[in-house]
Amino acid sequence: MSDISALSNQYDQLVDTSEKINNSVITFKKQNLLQDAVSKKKYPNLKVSPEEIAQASSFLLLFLVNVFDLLRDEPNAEEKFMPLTVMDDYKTRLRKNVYLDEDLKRLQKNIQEKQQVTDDDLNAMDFLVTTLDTERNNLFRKLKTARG
Amino acid sequence: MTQFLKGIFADQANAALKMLARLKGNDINADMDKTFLANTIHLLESLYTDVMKIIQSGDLDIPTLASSNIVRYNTFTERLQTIELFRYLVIINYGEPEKYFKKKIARIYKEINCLQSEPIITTISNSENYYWALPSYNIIAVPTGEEKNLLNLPDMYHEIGHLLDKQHRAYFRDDFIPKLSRFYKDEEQRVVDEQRDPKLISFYRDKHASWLNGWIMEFTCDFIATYLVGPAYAYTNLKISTLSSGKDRIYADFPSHPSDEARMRAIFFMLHQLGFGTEVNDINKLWQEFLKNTKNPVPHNYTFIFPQALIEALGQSVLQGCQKIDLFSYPDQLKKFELPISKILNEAWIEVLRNSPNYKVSEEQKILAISKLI
Repeated sequence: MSDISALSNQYDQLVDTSEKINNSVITFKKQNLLQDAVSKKKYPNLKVSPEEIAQASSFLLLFLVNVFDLLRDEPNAEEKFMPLTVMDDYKTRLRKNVYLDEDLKRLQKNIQEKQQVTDDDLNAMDFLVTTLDTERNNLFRKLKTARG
Repeated sequence: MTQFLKGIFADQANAALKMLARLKGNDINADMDKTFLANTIHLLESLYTDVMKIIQSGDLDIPTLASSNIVRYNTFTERLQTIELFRYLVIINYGEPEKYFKKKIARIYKEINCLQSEPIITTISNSENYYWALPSYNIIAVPTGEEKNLLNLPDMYHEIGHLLDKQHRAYFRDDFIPKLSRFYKDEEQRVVDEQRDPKLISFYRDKHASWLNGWIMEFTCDFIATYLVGPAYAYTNLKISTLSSGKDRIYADFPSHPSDEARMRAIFFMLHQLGFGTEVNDINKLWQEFLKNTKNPVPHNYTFIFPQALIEALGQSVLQGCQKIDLFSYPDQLKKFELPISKILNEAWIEVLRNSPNYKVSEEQKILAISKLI
């Protein structure tokens, strides 16, 4: 009668979101590198397909809408990205970055308008991902402890 | 940094290979479930392939991808540890108790008419973590030495409930979800209409979310366990509640689990549905005395956390779900089998309550009786 069944479901959901966001960020980082001739020469195997960019944009935009809802305490922040038990803590961690709202709005605009993402945009994405990584890791610790 | 990342990814791939070598070796117990073993090997091979893909992709050579690669590494590590903790250790520790439980669970599944593949029962748990189930891996863990106990065994039926809930969730809860939403929506509206404390709105939303995220599942498993093993489950719940009472937790709710008090009401409701009115009266007398003696605090607004109407609505829904999938209830088992394990568990509880000094001998005899059955 431990918490393990519920925790395991929540953890699987968070892994899915964390991996999708991280892969999207990697796609944008690669796209950025490909704009630079030196990097292109240095990493000859580096490539990103238009489909990968479209998929990354689409997922990141959906996630950003949800993050904005979360930061504004909107009740419609969707649970499909992360369990409710994690949302509050994620929100608290994100709010520690006072420039986040501004950074994310710029990022959202650039992706929507299919503009080249900037280094600041990539930093904002990294912040979202590493914070998600912390949440996922915390949940994993709970899962391990519940098992004993 | 790139060299360091390459090093730790290589180390990760090696860790998966070492586990694979042990699982493919000759010292795995011959009675270990072949599918479980094969799936574990598959999961490790797939993890190894994914790690190698990253190593060979050249991504680890790119410094600007470092933070993303660290997130990848952390995720792989957790994946590896999940396999290690919930599968590898189950296989490595498979021994005589597991063989015994394998036969016992086969018998229980026959008696309850459960058509799912039987789970692996492992004794890698301990008395603190007690019984737990991981439906995604089809395992139930019980404390070491549990093959020599009977009074906790009704909780095995609760864990079986988790496996059934994973497969038949819609049958158990779909009728109930709209009723739950309606209840909390109405309460939120009442806050507005009656100008009550606005803080109640977030309180209701929080409780509504807990119902959806954990409580429905736990109540469902309690209902299923009661349906399958009858009054014995109420006694086992009382035994567990004794531990909670020392921490003032009888009425406390957690995001994953409802309060012990609410769970007992759920159990009583299902027992009533099965025709165990007399037994409910007896156990309820004991329960009320227990509540009186333990004097645990009742939280503010408790009535709105676990309303009886919601518990009963979910109970009805689970009862219909059990009937739809043709599970044999405890009364059904009594009719169809001369001595089902569920009956032995009920007798064990009656015996320990009537004649506790003699219980040790009686328990040993009953365990022997189960051994003969399986």
